[in-house]
Amino acid sequence: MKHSPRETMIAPQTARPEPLLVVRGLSVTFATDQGPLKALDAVDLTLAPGETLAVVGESGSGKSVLSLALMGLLPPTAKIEADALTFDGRDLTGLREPDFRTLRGTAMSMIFQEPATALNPVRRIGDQIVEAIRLHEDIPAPKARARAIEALAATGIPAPAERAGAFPHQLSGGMRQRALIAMALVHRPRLLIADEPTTALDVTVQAQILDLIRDLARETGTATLFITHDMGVVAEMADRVSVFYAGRLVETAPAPALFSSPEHPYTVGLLGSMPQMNARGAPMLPIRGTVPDPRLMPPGCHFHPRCPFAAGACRTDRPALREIRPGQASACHLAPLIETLEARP
Amino acid sequence: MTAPLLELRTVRKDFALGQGLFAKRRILTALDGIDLSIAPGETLALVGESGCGKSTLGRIVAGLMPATAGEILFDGHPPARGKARARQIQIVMQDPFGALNPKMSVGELIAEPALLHGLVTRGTTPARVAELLSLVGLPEGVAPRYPHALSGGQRQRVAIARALATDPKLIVADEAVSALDVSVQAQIANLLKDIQARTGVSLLFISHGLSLVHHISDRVAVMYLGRIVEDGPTADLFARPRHPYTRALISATPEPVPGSSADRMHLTGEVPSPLALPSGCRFRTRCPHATDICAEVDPPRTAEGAAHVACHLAHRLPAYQSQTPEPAPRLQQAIALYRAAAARLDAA
Ligand SMILES: Nc1ncnc2c1ncn2[C@@H]1O[C@H](COP(=O)(O)OP(=O)(O)OP(=O)(O)O)[C@@H](O)[C@H]1O
Ligand SMILES: Nc1ncnc2c1ncn2[C@@H]1O[C@H](COP(=O)(O)OP(=O)(O)O)[C@@H](O)[C@H]1O
Ligand code: SF4
Ligand code: SF4
Ligand SMILES: [Mg+2]
Ligand SMILES: [Mg+2]
Repeated sequence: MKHSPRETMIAPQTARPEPLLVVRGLSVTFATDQGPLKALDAVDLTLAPGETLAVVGESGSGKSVLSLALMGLLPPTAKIEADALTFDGRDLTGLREPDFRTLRGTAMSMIFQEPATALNPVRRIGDQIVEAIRLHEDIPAPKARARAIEALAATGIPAPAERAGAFPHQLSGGMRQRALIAMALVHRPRLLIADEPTTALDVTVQAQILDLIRDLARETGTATLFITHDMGVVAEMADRVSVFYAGRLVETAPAPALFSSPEHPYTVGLLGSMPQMNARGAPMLPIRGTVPDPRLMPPGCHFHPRCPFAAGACRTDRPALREIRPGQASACHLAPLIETLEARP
Repeated sequence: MTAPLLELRTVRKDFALGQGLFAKRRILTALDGIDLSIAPGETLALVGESGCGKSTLGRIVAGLMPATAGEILFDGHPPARGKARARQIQIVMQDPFGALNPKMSVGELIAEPALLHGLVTRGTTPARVAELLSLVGLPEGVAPRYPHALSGGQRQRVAIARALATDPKLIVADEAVSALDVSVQAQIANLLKDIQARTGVSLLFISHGLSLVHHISDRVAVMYLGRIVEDGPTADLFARPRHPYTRALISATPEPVPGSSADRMHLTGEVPSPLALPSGCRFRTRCPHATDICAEVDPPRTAEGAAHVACHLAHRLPAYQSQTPEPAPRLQQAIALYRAAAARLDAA
């Protein structure tokens, strides 16, 4: 049986309001000196208002390219193709930069892995937040200043009025990330894109920042696209999860389903390689090999050179994303995995 | 008990900050009163948040910088200096990119330490390089390639091969897998344990994360602001952490099971500056159990069976409840099928 990619639409798991974000068949190709590089290959995604979707995958799987595409921040060398790319009912594909800029400051915003690079090193953080506010809202400076301090206070920064006068380098990494979150949320965006916001932080501070993002998003009803490579963080944050591998979406599922019955072999491998899933003292279960060079993607299933279950069709045909359980879909010829494997001779 | 391979007694390290005629000279004490030992063939993990002194300790052990005070014994004697020390104690760093000379091929990189220490001749070099490549699981075909053409995991294997080239007795792995994807971390962790089983080398495994440490170490030492606050056998330390900081670290580590963070123990604030150490117990500004004595008296390190802990209230803390839930049965089944299929491929 052959499937064309994406022949199945994934039904929302429960009756939901109109999705806030709809992405269908999104591809991003970079023009490089060594020829075209396809960083995203026909990926789908939907996000409901107030929902947290985690995007997880190894380095180079296309997570950051996805977030830049949604924010309209890809360089001119990138070619974007999509069957659908809508935010709040609005088509983003033809959006011009000035309109994108307005959208970015207000309805969607982003926090990054390294807050230091996202903040201006020579300006006080309070001034930077005031500027972000006044870029999109015509309010007098003293009022904006009060709002900025309020925003800092909401992120749990101690002595916010005082800290507003600090330069980024005078703050710790956790404090800088809080300032960046304050700035990202001043306009109560409908969508927050968080690209590995805690990867550079220590675990005890990571725990604080994860709680902060979760609480603030809940309070403001903001939908969150949470990008991470850590399945532990996914378990903590996500309502739904999309697993990316080598530029493709390989599995998507409600978080409880993904962790209780993963379908795609790559998801199983990712979970299986976590120390927590391996008996102490026994060898760990790695995923064999390494991610492919994006210019030399293998034919068929991108995961086949590393997949322990790979067989005939895997090497030639791209597996379609098929729904296995309500809201859970896997792009694997063997899906449903356990049933198919157990039926094998 | 076997005699320790490495022993540190009340090791201290001060850094002088502020240069220039008018800058005020200040002293940063990065390590203070460190007692530590590693047995032959043992893996000791050193964990703690960034800036607590892990790398400083690793560098002192590897002989890359001197301690300010205290005693270091290797095989019962003060360790040799320079080349002789480097031969017995090797270090593998976090950034596999920065650590490898981009102008040298993999083969040259791996041959270099052995040539430097006069352990090979020009005639025996190729055979030794081939042996080291196979020890770290790299195909011989990578020998003529350059570091930029390798993946992060492959570069880390090259760095480990270099460290193994002198047949050291101890390898200091400073965040050696932290920058790698989890699936590749698992490969490197297996590699280190495999090499240890074959060569009997001891490992000082430095990490800011706990999950891999739980899996691969024999003993763990937990550091906070230049002190070891708790150390002990790994299984015991994770099952019954005695120090509030150890408990907080374990509790803050995200588990791959949804809903498991609900009753997480929370630390407020961040690590204070080492230039403004709190009085008494260094952890007291973040400790949920701190009482008056904690601000006045620095808690001594006391023995608890095979473990040590430095906390005034270690005996009065509420019993520790591990919150790690079991993975779901279908997940376990899927992983078992994956493992079996991978093993069949490896055997073939
Ligand atoms: N501006 C660009 N020009 C060319 N190629 C690019 C560009 N940005 C990203 N890529 C390539 O696109 C692919 C996906 O990159 P991306 O940054 O999205 O990965 P990621 O999943 O975010 O990885 P990580 O976990 O390391 O952050 C990679 O192969 C990368 O090298
Ligand atoms: N060469 C140095 N000069 C001055 N201070 C240093 C130096 N190296 C480390 N430190 C300081 O010593 C403390 C411990 O650092 P380090 O050992 O690198 O910590 P870790 O590896 O645990 O993150 C930190 O406060 C750090 O800033
Ligand atoms: S399609 Fe084939 S190679 Fe790809 S994940 Fe499924 S079994 Fe593995
Ligand atoms: S000595 Fe006091 S402050 Fe320090 S860890 Fe123990 S209870 Fe906490
Ligand atoms: Mg990225
Ligand atoms: Mg370090």
